[in-house]
Amino acid sequence: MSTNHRIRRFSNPLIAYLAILALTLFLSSQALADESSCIVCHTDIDLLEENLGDDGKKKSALQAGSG
Amino acid sequence: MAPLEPQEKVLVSEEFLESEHGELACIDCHGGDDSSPDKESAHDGFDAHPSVNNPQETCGECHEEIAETAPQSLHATLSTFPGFLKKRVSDNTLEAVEKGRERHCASCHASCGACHVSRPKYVGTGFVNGHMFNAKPDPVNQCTACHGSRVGNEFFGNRGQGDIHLREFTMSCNDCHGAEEMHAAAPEGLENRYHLEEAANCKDCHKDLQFGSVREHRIHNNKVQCQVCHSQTYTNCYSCHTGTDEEGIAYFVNNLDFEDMKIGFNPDRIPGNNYKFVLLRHVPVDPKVFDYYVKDGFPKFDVSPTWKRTSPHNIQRRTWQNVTCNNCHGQRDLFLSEDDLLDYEKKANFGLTVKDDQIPKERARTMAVNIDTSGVEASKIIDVDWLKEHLDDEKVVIIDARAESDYENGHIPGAINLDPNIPDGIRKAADSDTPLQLEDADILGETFGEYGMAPDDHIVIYCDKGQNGGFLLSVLDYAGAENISMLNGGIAAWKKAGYELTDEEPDYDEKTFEANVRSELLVDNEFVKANLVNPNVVIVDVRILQQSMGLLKHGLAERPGRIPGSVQFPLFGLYEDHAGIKSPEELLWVLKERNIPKHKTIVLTCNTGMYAGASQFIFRYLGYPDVRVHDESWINWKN
Repeated sequence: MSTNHRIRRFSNPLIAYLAILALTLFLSSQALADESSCIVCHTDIDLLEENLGDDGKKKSALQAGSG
Repeated sequence: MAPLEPQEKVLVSEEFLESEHGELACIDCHGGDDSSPDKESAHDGFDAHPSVNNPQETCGECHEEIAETAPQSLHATLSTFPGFLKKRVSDNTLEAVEKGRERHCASCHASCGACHVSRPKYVGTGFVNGHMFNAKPDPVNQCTACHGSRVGNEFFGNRGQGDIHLREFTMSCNDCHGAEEMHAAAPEGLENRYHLEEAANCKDCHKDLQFGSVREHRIHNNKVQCQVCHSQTYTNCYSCHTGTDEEGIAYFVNNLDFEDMKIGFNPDRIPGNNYKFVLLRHVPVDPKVFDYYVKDGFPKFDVSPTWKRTSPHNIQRRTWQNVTCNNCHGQRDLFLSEDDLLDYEKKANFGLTVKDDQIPKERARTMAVNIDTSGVEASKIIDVDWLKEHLDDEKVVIIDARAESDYENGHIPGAINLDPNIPDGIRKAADSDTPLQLEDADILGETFGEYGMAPDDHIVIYCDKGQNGGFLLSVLDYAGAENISMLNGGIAAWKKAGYELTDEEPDYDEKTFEANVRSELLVDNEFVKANLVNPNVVIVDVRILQQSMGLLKHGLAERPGRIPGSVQFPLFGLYEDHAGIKSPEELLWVLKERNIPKHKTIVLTCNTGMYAGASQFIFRYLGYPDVRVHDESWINWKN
């Protein structure tokens, strides 16, 4: 059996193993925004309305428009 | 732009969660504690603006090259402002002026988020689209949220008829001002924004015009800036002042914004802009701009001009000044003169004004512009001198069509206040079955009589922008008033002439105004639908381009959009900012150019009939024989 053939026979399961490992690591490390508790409030307009008052950011009535 | 409610500002959409950026955890960019169940601790260490405070470790994690340069871009730093100010200050005033600059001028700077996620801070922030990241900034909610009163108004037709790049080619801001320009780091000491190597230039697209078929391009190449021939009038700002209001909120305000056009000698001759003549715009700088912080803050005011190179964003292929040589050559009023300069700025603008013998000479042989003005009803537009002479004329009734608060702050003696936006008497209620359509004839008559008008009076109306006065005049016309006029230039022209203002309300008697309706001046949806493809009927949409192009919806409309086949010609192509009316020759030429000819039936439509009415008055003044208002307009267009 040639060296090349041995490598090929060995590499197929190795590549598959590495790919599965990488995918597992990737998925476990993924911190998706929709898994965050932030999203519980920030996708619910009623909750936001209950929890947010006037944000107090006002512009002066005298303010001119910008360029 | 109506501000968003607090909850709307931070509402994240499902679409975002499924997007590429939604794959990141919120805390990756914003910090805070996403495992905490309560609001306070969840927001401990929270950063609402990570692209401002921590660009390298947030946006820069993926957009490494952009995060390297964008924090030094002009949008982020406004770095040319301090350069200008420093030229004019002394060592003693530098610190105070810098404080003023930081507090007022620097309030407009932008971050990554302000162009790609949220409305900018200047307009109160808030997600544009549920935290979605848009590679191309939204021209309405982002670009012109800041660049609004000048660039946005010009581009969208709030001043002039808008820009051909938008109307004809649906181009957006960043089709010219691309990422390369926006993200470029501004070199230290950059003289002005035009000096940025990556800055947009007409010739980026319009290449080698000197070799093209247009003779004028060959003749004027490298002598005359593109905008001199292709721009419409634009705004000039005077005397910016800074301060804080009663609530301690910082503001800046101009004493005067005035629509005009001035050609001058180029103050900024650099490669790519080595023209002899350019358009100049008066910038709002004033020796007293920072008096709130320090008196005489600019002891070296004269070192920099107050009229600067400008690039109005209201380009047209054909304009009144380029239609024939002598609309520009020999036109004294088009060129900046010593008389245009205020006393304090004469030295600052040395070398920019064009003396009489420096104005390009009139050409002996030019193409004739045959505009027939014989149908113009000149008496429909009067000037301030005429009104001054007729203040005590018993048959002249003067109506101030501005808001009551403006009227109370000072009005022309004898003027009666009638703001056509009053809740009843002229238009039906917004929540009625026929929202904002004209009241019935008897109610219109009652209203006009109540305000001291009779059909045979000479009714003179003025306002501040044109649309209120123009609309009211069109309603009077419809109701049968026989002699109506608008004051050219409105209250601004009266003030400029130095004539008296008063805050006293006049005593006047109610009159009988028996409405004799000219029904041919109005049409309904049925008429419009029946004539959508009639070659003898031109439907003209006089709303701003934002609305007629479907980028922005009127509050009472079901959806954005416009009537199929309608011609887009914004109202402000007819009225200048300050209710000034351009010459009938120019207006008639512009309308002909836009395929709105006199011999056809013209139907004017807008959102509610108001802009359409204001346009109708000008069309009737110009002598259009058959011009009708689509009273139902877009908010009642159900099909």
